[in-house]
Amino acid sequence: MLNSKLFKDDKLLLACAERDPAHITLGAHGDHVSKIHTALLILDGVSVSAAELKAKQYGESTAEAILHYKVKRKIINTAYQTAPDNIVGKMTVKSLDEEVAKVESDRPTPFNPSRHQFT
Amino acid sequence: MAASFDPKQANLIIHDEGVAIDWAASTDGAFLYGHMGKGWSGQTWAQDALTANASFPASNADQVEFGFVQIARANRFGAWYSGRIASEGSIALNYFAAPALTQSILLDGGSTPPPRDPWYRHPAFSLSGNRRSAETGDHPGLVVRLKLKNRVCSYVPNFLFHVIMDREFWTIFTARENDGKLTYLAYYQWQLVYEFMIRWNNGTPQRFINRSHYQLLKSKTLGRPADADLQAILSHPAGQRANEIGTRAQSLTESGAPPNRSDLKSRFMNVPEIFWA
Repeated sequence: MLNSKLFKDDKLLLACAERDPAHITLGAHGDHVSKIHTALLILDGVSVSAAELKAKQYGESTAEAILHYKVKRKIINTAYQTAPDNIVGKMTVKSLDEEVAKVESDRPTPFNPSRHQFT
Repeated sequence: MAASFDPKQANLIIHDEGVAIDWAASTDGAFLYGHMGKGWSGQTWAQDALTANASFPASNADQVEFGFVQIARANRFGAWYSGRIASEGSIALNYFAAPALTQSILLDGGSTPPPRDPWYRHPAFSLSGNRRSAETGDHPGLVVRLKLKNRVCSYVPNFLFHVIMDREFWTIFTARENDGKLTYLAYYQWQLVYEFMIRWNNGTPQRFINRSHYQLLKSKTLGRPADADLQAILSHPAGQRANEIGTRAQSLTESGAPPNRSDLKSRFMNVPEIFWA
């Protein structure tokens, strides 16, 4: 089960959260990949390449951004890994979902007008 | 006894040569700064782009101040933000509308600290022969955020792609007697429209289209401006200044709701294909 508004109704992301064979890897494409792109921008401020973004493709820049995301959060399946990889599996999709859900539920940062100088 | 001022004796010379309009991003990438002429140094507005000198015979120099009153009319101020892709939505900001802005005619003037009413700047006089002289200048800027988080699309950042800010100004050479009586001697009317379209490359804003323009609508015109919507403020030019009111309007718009701020789930039709590269 996924909780964020961004992920919760996406069948491929739900499958990814439940089943190992539904992991999302290099070469995947579609709306579920777009949602991963969006999550990366929301959470890490990382934008994948424009070509992958437009094609909704899990290409090299997406894989690199996911690897960075997993390293930063130490997302490792210790059953068979010693270092993060660049795919979106169960642990990663759940982590992305939890973080996006938190952003969605948080109040927006109060506006600070100090930088504004209407002249 | 109040003095009598004949506007025909007022000299007013306007300098607007070389006014050019452009924008720059703040070093931290948070804001777009629109500027005219040499008005933006990269850190602050440094220099007036439009200036004027005026003078009047100084027969009673100890009983009267000469300076400039400036009135601004807030015509239009909108900013539009887009997601990188259609599913990341869009945001429309409409600053010059209630409840964010409830008056369109504003007494202009600096804000740190504000000048004495009614002056646009603290008046500084000089005496030249038998005439008292005063100077003024302006470089109205534009500040908008380059990114905003879309409330209906999981707070994903949306990126500025279009901004328009349209203001008119009346800069009025004015005599103020010691009892507070004002005589509007001569004025000029001008308009500044900022309009930029932005594209993004590798997350960095780029120049795309600049339709900004400055126009001197009326050169030296004697007497009090006749525009009907200015009469109330000309009769009582006091109170909060345009800078303060405008800054608050921006704050209220960005943190507000329709009609000032609208967060949308899809993109505007006019977002260019090359908006994000």
